[in-house]
Amino acid sequence: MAGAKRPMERREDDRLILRVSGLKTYFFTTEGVTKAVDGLDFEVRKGEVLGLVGESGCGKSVTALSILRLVASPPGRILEGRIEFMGKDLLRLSDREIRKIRGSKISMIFQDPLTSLNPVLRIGYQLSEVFRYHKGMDRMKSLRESIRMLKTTEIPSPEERVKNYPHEMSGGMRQRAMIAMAFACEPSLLIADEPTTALDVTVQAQVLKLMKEICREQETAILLITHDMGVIANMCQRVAVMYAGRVVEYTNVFTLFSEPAHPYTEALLKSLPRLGAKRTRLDSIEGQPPQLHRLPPACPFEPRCEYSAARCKEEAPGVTCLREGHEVRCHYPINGKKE
Amino acid sequence: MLRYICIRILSMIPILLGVSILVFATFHLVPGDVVDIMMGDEVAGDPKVLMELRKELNLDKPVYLQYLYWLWDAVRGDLGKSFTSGKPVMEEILHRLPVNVELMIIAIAFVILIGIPMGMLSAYKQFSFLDGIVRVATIMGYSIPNFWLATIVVLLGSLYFRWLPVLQYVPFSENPLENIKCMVIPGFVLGLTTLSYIVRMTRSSVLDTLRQDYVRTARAKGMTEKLVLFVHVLKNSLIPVITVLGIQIGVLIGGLVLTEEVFVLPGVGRLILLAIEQRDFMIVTGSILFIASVFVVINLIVDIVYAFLDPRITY
Repeated sequence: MAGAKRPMERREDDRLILRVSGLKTYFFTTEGVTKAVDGLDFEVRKGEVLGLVGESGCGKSVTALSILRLVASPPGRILEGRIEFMGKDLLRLSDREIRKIRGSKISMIFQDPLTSLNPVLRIGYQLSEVFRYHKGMDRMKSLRESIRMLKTTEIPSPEERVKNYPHEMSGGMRQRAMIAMAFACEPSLLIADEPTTALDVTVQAQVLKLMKEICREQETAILLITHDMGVIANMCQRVAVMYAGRVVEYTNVFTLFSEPAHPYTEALLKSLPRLGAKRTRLDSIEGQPPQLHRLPPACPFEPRCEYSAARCKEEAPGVTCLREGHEVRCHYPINGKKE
Repeated sequence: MLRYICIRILSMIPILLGVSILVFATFHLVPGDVVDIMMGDEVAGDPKVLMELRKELNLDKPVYLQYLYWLWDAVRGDLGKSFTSGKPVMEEILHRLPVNVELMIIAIAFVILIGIPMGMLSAYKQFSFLDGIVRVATIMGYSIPNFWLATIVVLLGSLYFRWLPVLQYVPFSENPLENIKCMVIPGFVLGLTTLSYIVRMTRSSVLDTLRQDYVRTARAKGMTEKLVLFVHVLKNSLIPVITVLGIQIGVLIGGLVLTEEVFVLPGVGRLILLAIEQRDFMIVTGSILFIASVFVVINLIVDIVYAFLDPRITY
């Protein structure tokens, strides 16, 4: 998280694929400045799945878009920070250079496969575009590659499917097509922004399994953005919990579920339904998600925090390293030593 | 697709029947009958002649039979004979039709070749200086009445400053170059309102499409802005534009009458105007029926183009 305290990653630097540090993406609207991402740090290593979790509007999707510099501008703007991808700062690349990375070295899967696919172009065309643009293939060859790619995503009769329009396919199949598109050029990093939210539960499991398999095969790292703790538990090795544009807790997936240190993480876990639990109502987090253009001056979670103390209203918490690989942004982390 | 086209063609039949009933009704909505109107106050008339004329026009038969006779003739392309010239109405129309077709083609060419690119550019450079100019120009474009602009162009251009050829129609077959010279300005004047409208429509449609998720997907795939705009945005944003264009063609047809009159071009519009003055009822009804049918056919074409653009339309 914060620049100074990062002892544990050093020795693994050669496996580092993406390092985001101090990223700030603000939106300048008539209602004021919305600080969607406000000083974000995290790292993704080769072949790893990092989960980025948080409630709606905490800046998860903006983070994803910022990495590929796809934030709509105006009103959005990346103010500062570094996004180092394999040693290069993506924020300093020319438009041409970043285009070469998009879709080939870093690719994205979006939430709703229906709106994310062009309704008036055939699946085969949309898929073969990637091959033609990044690998310079001709029409025939790129179409053959598209069919091969659809086959790896286990879409039945891909030769027929390439002729379909998105509306002629089911939701699961559309997301498989999106996955095929994302893995077409064997990317080093896949950014999956709520890839299963729009799908029904059985299809969700299939799609996640498929993503896992292809990633293992291609050694692709995933930045998995979700609000679903079940998906996190299923897919990730490490997790960054986001709140109001910042990472508030950063740890491996086991510690996250067994010893959450940030009150927000604890509250999130409490609000999960549990099998065999006797209560009928789920716990929920009190209050409203913060409005990003009117954040509390100190700790943004303070108004909703059940452990809130006087200091939380006055001073923004820094990052505390509880143990190697477990960092938290809180004055009074649960189970942890008090600062 | 073929099925869709067939269904659309079949659905034209009730529309055309409706049109024919309306046009036919005008025969009977006027006081007296057609023969009275034709004769006007000129001749009190020899009753015998009048009777014969009525018989020839089937006016002595019941209304529904009159309609059926008239419809049957119309279906076979016989719209009756002009009272004044004695020539078949169809011949009169077809003789003048090339002027209208040319005017329409020029106007639509302006609309499509200038309007759509200008709208796209304006959207793509939203809030730029260029966008500002385009927006002001288009507001002026569709606020200026057609007839006023036509008059001003003729007055200033042809008569006062003499930049443009004096009002004079040269058929295409005689001198293609001169013909186009004398048609371009009227065509532009005719199309200006629609042009402005299409620019605005394209602009807002492209702006809307640019915000869609699939445009973001295309960018995330690494497509160049050019590819994004021409492959992913254009086809999607043309769908509403084509709809509006189809409706606007009706407006263009209406504008023909005025444009022809001001620029003194011998087209169907002037034929109708003259016929109204001369109370040539057969020409008036025949031309209206003809134009209405053309409009219905154009709408059919628009619908088919629409289905080609948007695969989600169920055939």
